[in-house]
Amino acid sequence: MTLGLSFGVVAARSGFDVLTATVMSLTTYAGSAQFAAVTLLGAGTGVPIALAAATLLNLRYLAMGIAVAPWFEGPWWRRLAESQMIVDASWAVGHRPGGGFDRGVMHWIAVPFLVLWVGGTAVGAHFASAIGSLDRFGLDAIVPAMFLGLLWPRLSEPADRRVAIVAAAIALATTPLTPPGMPVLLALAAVVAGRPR
Amino acid sequence: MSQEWLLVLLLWGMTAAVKSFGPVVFGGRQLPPGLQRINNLVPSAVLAALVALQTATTGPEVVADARIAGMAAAIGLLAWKKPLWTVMAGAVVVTAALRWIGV
Repeated sequence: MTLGLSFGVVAARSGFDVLTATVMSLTTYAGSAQFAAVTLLGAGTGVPIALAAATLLNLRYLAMGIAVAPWFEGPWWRRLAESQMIVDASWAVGHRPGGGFDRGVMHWIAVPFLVLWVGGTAVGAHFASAIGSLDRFGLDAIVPAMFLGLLWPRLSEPADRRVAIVAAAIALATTPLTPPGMPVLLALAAVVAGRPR
Repeated sequence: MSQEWLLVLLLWGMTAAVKSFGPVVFGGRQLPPGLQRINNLVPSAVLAALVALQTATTGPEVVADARIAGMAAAIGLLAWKKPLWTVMAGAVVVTAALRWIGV
């Protein structure tokens, strides 16, 4: 909800009206790519650059989608439709502790999130001038704390511990050197640290 | 068409393609055991990278600010076996409190 609010505010300040911002949240449903795209378009870069930056940020969904592909069943159109509910949080929560992936759990997280995301965007874009920065309320700590909570139970496995440490190190080390979106992709290489010793 | 609507349309198409590629092309097929073992490690890599980036970077810079203390509080609450919503609330309260005193 607060993330949706922030996006609505940022979109409105970048020249999007309530309708375009809300439709984007409903159709795209990928927060980081949307933030990047509207900010760049608002800064006057033009559509191709905004789209390219957003694509780079979304490439992790390519890897994440392939990782859970075995658990998507049914006709192709159903797999296409259901895969749109892949976002960081629903993908993370959908993993079963022992391995495997539960689409039901993914939907259970993703659908309410989508409602809040779209609703938050509409409210944020509408009241953009009245709402200042939300950061001072510490709300930017919600999402990393949630991801940390989802990561925590996995760290009892030594292989996952090594992977997590290496991935975090790669992500931070490459942040100043690469465009947004690349650090997460490069961090995927950390899975080699999880090979049996 | 305005630039905004054009971007909305293109972003929709691009995101739908990226998200659905794996499930549409490889859906329903089990991976060979070797790949499956690597696959099981992907969540830890993605989550750790996202936590690191969202805690300690602003744009292209690595920074240390109130969020670090928020995550330290979250780790404390996790070690104390508190539920996820308590962990998230704790991180927010600590981060906001430090910002409030001017960190």
